[in-house]
Amino acid sequence: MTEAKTASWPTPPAPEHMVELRGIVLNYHKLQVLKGVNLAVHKGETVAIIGPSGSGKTTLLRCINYLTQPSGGEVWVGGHLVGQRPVGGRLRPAPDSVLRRHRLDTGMVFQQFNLFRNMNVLDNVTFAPLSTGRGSPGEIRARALQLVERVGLGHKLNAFPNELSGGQQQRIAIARALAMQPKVMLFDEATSALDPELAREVLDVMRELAREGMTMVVVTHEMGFAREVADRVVFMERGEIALQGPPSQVFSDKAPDRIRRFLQH
Amino acid sequence: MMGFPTAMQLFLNGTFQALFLLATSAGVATVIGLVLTGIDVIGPRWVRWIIPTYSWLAQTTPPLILLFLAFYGSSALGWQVAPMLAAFIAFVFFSSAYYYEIFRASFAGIPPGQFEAAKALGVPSGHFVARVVLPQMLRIAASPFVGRTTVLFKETSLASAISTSEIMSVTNGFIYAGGNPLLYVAIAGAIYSTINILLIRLERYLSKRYATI
Ligand SMILES: Nc1ncnc2c1ncn2[C@@H]1O[C@H](COP(=O)(O)OP(=O)(O)OP(=O)(O)O)[C@@H](O)[C@H]1O
Ligand SMILES: [Mg+2]
Repeated sequence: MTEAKTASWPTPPAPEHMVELRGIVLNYHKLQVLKGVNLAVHKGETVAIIGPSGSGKTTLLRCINYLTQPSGGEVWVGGHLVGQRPVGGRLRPAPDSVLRRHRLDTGMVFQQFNLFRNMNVLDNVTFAPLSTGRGSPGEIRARALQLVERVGLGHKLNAFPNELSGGQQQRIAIARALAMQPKVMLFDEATSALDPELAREVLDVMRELAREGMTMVVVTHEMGFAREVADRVVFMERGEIALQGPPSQVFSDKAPDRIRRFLQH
Repeated sequence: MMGFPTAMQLFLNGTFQALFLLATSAGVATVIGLVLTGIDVIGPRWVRWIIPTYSWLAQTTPPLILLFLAFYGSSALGWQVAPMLAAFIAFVFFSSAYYYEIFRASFAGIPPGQFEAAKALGVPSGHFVARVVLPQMLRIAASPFVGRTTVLFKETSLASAISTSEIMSVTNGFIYAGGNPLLYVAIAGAIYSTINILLIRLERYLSKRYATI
């Protein structure tokens, strides 16, 4: 009896682990896209995920906030199990209302920005906190103004997304995610749709965020960013973590051949 | 021959009847079209073929046949349905399908990444639909919606076939009574075009006003 209970009652991760992935498996039909990935991200740590196209980087990132539901394994964020909850001594998929609460701990930034097209900058940033009651309207507005200022767009409060450059839209998307006061920020190729010049202004915001101690998981093709900003680089290959370590190690001449080959192009 | 004031009164009344038929049937059909879109998007699987089948039927059957079905069909079944009510039922039946198609297409036109963004932010779906999905849908739908509504307004003339007293019935009345057909048809035509031009103008104005979306 007690044994059955401990078996279905996973133990929470160590408190310094802001994100912990345990044995994440994901199958699309016959294709196994993630093959039991384990990864722990510490509080305040910035982890860069790199690897060839199709290796499962996006899929892994989306498992962290359950935009993609893993076929197996556990996702822990901020000490809470995500997407599952105990029902009658067993873990069951959480209903939408619960999942929505779980997602409050994570903010996500997408390659295509995905701003709400019918809302101006201020409304984009305040909409989610207002509709989920993250503070009083006054507080939410004050925080939004501060965030928009911080990403350098204080003069664009009333602009609509189609009046902004890609780089500006992405910075607003970051502010929008931060307005929910998440514990972790997830970035999926946040600069891939941008010209180098515009990418730089977004990377600067991300760098600043990392410096201020935000926990970040960053899927990126920007090796310069991974090298300079990440505390740890995770190299994925065919649904598995092939190698991870500090940038100095992953980007060194002594890294395994296939990583050096990947980095060469 | 009737005097000018009476003739004008009859035409005014006919216009009022036609507009009333248009407003009620377009209003109800809009709501049904939106509900069908909602069901189609989030409803159970089996409705996924019922709605398109209904829509196809409603759009391919000539409106006049639907009108006769509603009017003579109901009296054959023993219900006395007033001509206006029969027209209303027939118009709602087929325009719901057209409006559904318009809303369905405009829903599909919303850039999809926003759905994921809202999910990731933990926004409740009701708020998201009310504040993001519907406004964008209506913006995309505005022009085809008004286009279809102007057609519907012209189709109200078909209701003259079941002796309502809208514009075309009034016109027929004058012609049968020996009036100059060209004159009365021209008057009717002018009424339809004027009102449709106003509808289109209104859409242009609103589209410009909300152009940033
Ligand atoms: N919805 C899906 N249905 C089926 N297969 C999918 C789906 N999403 C991803 N895949 C497959 O899963 C694998 C991993 O995809 P993923 O997008 O995670 O790769 P990635 O590392 O992010 O690649 P990229 O660098 O090109 O963005 C690929 O083989 C992809 O084809
Ligand atoms: Mg990807």
